[in-house]
Amino acid sequence: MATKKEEAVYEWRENNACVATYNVLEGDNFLDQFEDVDIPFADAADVSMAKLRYFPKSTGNSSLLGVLGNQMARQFLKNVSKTFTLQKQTPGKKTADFVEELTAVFSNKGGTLRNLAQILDENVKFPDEG
Amino acid sequence: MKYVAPVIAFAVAASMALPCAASAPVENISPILLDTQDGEGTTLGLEFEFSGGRHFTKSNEDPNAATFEDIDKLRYSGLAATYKVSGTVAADEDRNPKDFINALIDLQYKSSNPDALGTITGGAFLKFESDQSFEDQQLVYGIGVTYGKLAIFGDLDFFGIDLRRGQVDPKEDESRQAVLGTTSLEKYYRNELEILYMFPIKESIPVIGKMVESFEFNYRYYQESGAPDVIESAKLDRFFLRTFRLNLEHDLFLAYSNGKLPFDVKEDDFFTLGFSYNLE
Repeated sequence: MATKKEEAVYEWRENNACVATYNVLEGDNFLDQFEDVDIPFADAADVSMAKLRYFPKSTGNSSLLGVLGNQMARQFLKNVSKTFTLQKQTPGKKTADFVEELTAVFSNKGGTLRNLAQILDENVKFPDEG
Repeated sequence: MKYVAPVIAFAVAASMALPCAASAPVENISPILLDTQDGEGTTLGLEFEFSGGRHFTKSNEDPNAATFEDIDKLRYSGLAATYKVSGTVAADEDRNPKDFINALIDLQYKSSNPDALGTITGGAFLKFESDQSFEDQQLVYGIGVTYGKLAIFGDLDFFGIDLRRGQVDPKEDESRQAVLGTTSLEKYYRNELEILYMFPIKESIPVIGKMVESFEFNYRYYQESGAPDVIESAKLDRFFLRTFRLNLEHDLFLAYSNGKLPFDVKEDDFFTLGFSYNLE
């Protein structure tokens, strides 16, 4: 009988994907969604989108969260591209699909920084990946 | 509109079966504290949410390029099928001012743009909502369009507007039954509007921002089309709820809401000072 294989949890570590995710969300010159004194890098992996400043607390309207999440995904990627060249990990992968993957996290109050870093890592070939 | 519901359900089911990109399913449960200012203290509750979906896209980029497209130039459109079940369970069901359950399946066209066009979605939906006692519950289906844009007045403020029109099945809406003098209620059409504006004070006003992180304004309006005179007289044809909320540091917040949502027959102002966190 076939059994469901458990997905491995993406490891939050000091690689380019995790550091870029953290810096873009925390940095005063980027998206400034939290302070490093409140959430240091080591504790940031499972911080949810609901904890970030952009996420609305007065509504759960999925359509509004969807368009907000898409706008945040665009801003996030734009800020990451200020630091790194967004070299594709998979040839042929569309930017639109990359943005949509990020949108799903930004639209979801349970989405985490770990989720964003994983999507970045899976899509972008960073310099530390050789 | 007769065949809208089965068409939407079929389209969503078909899209779920297509070999296109799938979004990761979501499962959240969070405790909350509600105070309805009725002199009887507070009541504890749980908020829950389960969601997921599929989508495909078409863009103006060259997919064979070695690097991803400049976000400031990227325009794309796509089709997405999603589902979401959310709600609030209160320890005391009579004092739960929110929907006990709110289930939605959605088939949406999306246009994502770098300029003032922002993000626009439009499509059809099926929604079921009920209060905690299940005395008032409704099935809604119809069409909707949503617009959202970051950076209206500041770098990260957000304006969003959601418009919908659909059929309402009042089923066991007791207040409507009482007004119309019948337990056999006919379906009707309703227009819905929701506006959300958020302003990140922390980033924009440093002095105030030491205590207050952001401000939110949320407005919801519901209007029945062609409502009978007795429904209008009983003020059951229009509902609104507006919420002003200051999100403070350390997960504290101060919120004021005024108005009522459909199916919540009690005129209610609820005032909340508290905290929120997620069980993850």
